[in-house]
Amino acid sequence: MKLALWTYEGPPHVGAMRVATAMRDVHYVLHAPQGDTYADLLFTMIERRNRRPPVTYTTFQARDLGGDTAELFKRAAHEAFERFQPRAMMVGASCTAELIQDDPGGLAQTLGLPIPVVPLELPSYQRKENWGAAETLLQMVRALARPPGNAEPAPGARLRCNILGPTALGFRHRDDLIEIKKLLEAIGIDVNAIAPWQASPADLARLPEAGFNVVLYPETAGLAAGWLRRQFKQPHTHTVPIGVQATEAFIREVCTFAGLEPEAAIARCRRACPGHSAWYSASVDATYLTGKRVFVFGDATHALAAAHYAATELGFNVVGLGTYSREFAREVREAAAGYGVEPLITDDYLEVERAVAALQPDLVLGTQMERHIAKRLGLPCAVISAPVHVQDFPARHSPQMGYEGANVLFDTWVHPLMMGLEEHLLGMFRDDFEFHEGAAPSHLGRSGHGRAAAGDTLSDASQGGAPQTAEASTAAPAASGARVPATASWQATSDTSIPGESQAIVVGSAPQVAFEAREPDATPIALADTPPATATVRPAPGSPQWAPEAERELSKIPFFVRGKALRNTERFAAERGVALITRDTLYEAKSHYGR
Amino acid sequence: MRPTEVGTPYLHRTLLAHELQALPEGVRLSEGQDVERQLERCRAERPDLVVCGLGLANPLEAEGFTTKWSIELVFSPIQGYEQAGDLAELFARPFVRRERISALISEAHR
Repeated sequence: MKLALWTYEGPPHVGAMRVATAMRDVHYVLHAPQGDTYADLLFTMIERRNRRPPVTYTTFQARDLGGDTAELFKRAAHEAFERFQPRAMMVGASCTAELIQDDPGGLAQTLGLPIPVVPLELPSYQRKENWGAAETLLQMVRALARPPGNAEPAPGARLRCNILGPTALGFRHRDDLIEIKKLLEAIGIDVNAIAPWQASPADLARLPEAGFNVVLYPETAGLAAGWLRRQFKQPHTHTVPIGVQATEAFIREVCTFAGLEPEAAIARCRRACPGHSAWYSASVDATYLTGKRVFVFGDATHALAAAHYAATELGFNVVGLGTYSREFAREVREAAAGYGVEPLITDDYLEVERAVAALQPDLVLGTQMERHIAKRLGLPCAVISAPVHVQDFPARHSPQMGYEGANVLFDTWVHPLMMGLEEHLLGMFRDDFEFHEGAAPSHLGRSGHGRAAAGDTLSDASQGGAPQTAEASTAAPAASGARVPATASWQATSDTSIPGESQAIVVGSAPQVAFEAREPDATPIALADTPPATATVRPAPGSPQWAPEAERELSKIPFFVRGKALRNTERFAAERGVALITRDTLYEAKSHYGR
Repeated sequence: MRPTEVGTPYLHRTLLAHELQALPEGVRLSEGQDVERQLERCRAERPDLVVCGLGLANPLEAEGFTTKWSIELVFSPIQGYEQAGDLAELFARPFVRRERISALISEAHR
């Protein structure tokens, strides 16, 4: 047994609840103690559902364990049927109730209810939430799907499909479904049934009438789709349409099943769902995205899709790829091999944190836990996968799939990165009298207070609009600790622009401190958790010292080559036994390595 | 305020003897958790405020009830005279919020 503070997936009965809650006219009777009723709030708080999940807990207590918990279960199932009048019932046990071995399935059969009762055997101690959802959907489909009347498929069946996979508490399932329906309509395909999202038992009964199945999320729909393929010869899609290329591969796959001409269908889809991400990525403004190092972790579906989109549509370098979906470890391992990275198959977020810390990527794409990890490490991050958080149910339409999904990915992943030109200009003008780190933003006007860290003397200066007094500029260091405030005098500013003393910098710690302390403040429009691009620059201990004027010169070098310039200069100085790097050393090094 | 029902998963009558005594006459006490029956009583009673867990808050709000999360009473310092104002404010807050966004509420419940 492993104790953890947090897990990526819940126990499998939560997966069963995700299926039950997504459906209509079903009820899940769950043999579970009082404490397990917490699962309600996953749905009513995180997803903001306006009604309880259709779940009855038997809520046995410690004192019931001496008595007849089996009788308790039967009474709960009977009352749930009377109260909710479902068209089908799911019965099972939570992880805790599994231990008392009451056999809910067998007990429910003895009730003689006039509706299909589907027993769920979900081994809580071997499996987890996504598998629980997949197994539940499979058992519901097996119990309810009716073989089509004729041996021959009905005319037009090829142009009819089912959509499998969207559940309650899914990552953007609601919005993905809207996009997929739009695409299928543009291709010319009718939707026969959707499961489990808002499906009634009658909808599951009609599943075999479709020509093929669209599998949106293999984690939840893979088992049911495989059974439908074997049982009713319904092929199913394998491409998850996340990203422009995957969307178009998906359209081609659908056209193969339907017997349609794919290129015309793609053209219709592009008209119906305009995409901007491909052009944005091709535009010169996106050049700075090239080779950004990205770490990807999530459920297998979203992690694989994210890595592919990152590598082939944004031009990023995938430097890490992993998943907590053990069922899909093989696929993720294969993909990782393709990117030349070590796959990370784990459900231990501390292991993920160690990997991210070691890799220091430019962008982390992960779950809400990776968002926390990235925040701790000062790295930009975007969330791509469940486990879901209340923020993963935005009020606006925000799909991941289809052309619109690709638009959303482009915006969501690119915005955390500071734009290349923006960062360059901010760096260049950092020491300018108007734009130095302590200057209040001009749009805030005379009463504007600068950034909090800048201290009162700075806003006084900006209010006065006149050169700052000597008193203010000398008093401030004491007031604001190591941070030296700006003054209105250019000379004074440039002389004191490096925090701490204006002596030669002790190389090894000070330049790094200088960058880390200054850059976040020097970039007023950056996100709070956007790290300085040079934070990774770590001059080796014992390397030469930097004179302030050389340090200032270094800071004028565009951020994307600054680290290299710093290392080259230090190497150049060390090789020549230069103890103090001056502005001349910097330029000598530049011309030396430029040759 | 007049409490109509006080429910708890487990009621230790000895430990809570003083509190039980302080409850006004005629308050219904419920122990254990038959949530559907509890909701039925709640719908019949139509109280002005329901103090409940997070799992029930949104469904009850969607039915038009005003709710207060019981967990806030656990996490907020509400003990003693000094915190009494904060405790009262905890109960008042959902009413204040409802009033502020009253124009939206019928829209949200459509």
